[in-house]
Amino acid sequence: MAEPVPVIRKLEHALADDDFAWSLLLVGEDQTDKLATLTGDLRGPVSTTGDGKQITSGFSYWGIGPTIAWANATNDPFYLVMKAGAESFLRHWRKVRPHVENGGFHLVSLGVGTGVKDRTILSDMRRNNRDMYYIPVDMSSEMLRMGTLEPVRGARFPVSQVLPVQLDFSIADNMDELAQMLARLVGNDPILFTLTGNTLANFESDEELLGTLTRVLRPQDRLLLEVASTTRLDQETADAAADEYHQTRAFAEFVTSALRYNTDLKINNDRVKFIGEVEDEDALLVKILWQNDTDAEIRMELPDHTEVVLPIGDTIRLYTTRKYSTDRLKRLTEACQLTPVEAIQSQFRYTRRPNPFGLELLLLAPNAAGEAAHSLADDIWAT
Amino acid sequence: MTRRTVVTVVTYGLLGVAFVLGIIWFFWPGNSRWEPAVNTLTLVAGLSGIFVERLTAEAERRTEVLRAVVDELQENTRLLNDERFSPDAPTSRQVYPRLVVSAVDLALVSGALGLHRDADLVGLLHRWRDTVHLFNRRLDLTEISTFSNTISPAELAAFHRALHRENSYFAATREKLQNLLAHISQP
Repeated sequence: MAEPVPVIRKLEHALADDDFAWSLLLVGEDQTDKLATLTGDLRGPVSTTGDGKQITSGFSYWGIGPTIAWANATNDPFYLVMKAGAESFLRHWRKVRPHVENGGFHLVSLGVGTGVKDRTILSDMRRNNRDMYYIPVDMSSEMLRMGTLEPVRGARFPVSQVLPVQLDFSIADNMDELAQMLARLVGNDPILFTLTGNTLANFESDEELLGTLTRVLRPQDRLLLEVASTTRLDQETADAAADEYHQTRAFAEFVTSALRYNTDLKINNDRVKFIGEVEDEDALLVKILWQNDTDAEIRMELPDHTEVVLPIGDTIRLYTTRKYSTDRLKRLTEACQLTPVEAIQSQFRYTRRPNPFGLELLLLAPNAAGEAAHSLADDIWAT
Repeated sequence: MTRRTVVTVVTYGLLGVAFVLGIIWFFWPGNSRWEPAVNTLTLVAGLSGIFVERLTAEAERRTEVLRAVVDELQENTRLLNDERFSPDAPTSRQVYPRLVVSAVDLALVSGALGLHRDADLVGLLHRWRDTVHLFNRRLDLTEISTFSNTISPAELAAFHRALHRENSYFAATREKLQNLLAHISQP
């Protein structure tokens, strides 16, 4: 009797020529665990500075409500930083492109976003490597579905070479499993990991996240990192950085959407505070938090139907972001043993006065890459 | 005792004896054999003096040539210690200083170095000349590579690493230079 054929093998033919909006998704984690984490984070201690209860990065985009809020924020014409970021990415990518265009790279996009940047990268990379795979990784299945539309519809990237993976890549074990799966999938082919849109800055410990990602890089792999940068580090600039997010209503809607979607808290946008501070004297940290500035305690129901009391002055950290100085980036990459292959920085130009803020795109290679490979330099200087 | 010393001692000895005989001849001119004695001694001293002069000139030329070589080697030591070759130098592209061998070239073609006496030194200088040419050629290749448009910071860092590796040609050149200087400074 013939062996039964696994469904995954038949799926390719089953979906071919089907114009229904199917999308394939590889789920790496039990989503109830994620809900438990979110609930746990919202039960944190009382803090008036945004260091108790919080919505950690990834959960800000988790669920259809926050995903829609994010899509609205990115389309908001008043969200100038987003627009300037998309334009500068194009310019920066053109300079980075020669390093990853050849060599048969596959693309693993960590934090898929709107998919616009992935579309640019994919349409350029696929020209020289028709067989490449596109593997977007995100905690939010809704973001994955929305984000992959852009490259597939916009750049006509074949859907049969796309594998969205729902996974929280900030957890070291998850990243290890992902790396093992990818190694089985692509063999020794190099992989370009991308962490664009200042995603690194959203994590409580950015060094820990970068370290987690670096650990799985093989010598042939590269990491494309896009971060927001600043040339000045003082309280005035930190306030200006906080203001930058404050100015956009759609952004305020987005940062509060996770709280709206997962709790019964009535959110008044006036209670959302944007606090800028200088972190470790080499970066600007912006904490966006909801604060109970009423004169009574507020009760909030969590997804597991338990209640949390928010005393007067208590805060919930909604979003964390940073703007990095060159020194901080150097410290981060050195601590994670990464070598910059290319680094391009540019300032925003949409304001009349000189703006200390900008974006930096770095293509990083693991330190082992240079040592393992026998380079031209070694040949020249050998005895 | 060297040949030059022997010939010099003999020459000045003969002249001294001739001078003493000349004085004796002046006070006691009766003996007619004084004249050929003084003349013969002076003649022989004159002949050996030619050798003294030639040997002294040769020694002076050798000293001059060696001094120029030592100066050049010290200049090369300074060049190798240049901040552009320092391990702490920034990993940016740059034009490196070149080692010089003109004094060594001159020393080898001048004939001032003795055939037997300096055989070892001549061998070392030939090998040093080759080393410098190959070292400078490597600097040319490094500059051609690092000044190309497509070089990445990682590749620049690789050049920096390759140059300062323990077993690199740079380290070998420095060691050869130190050995050569030590050899020449030996009496």
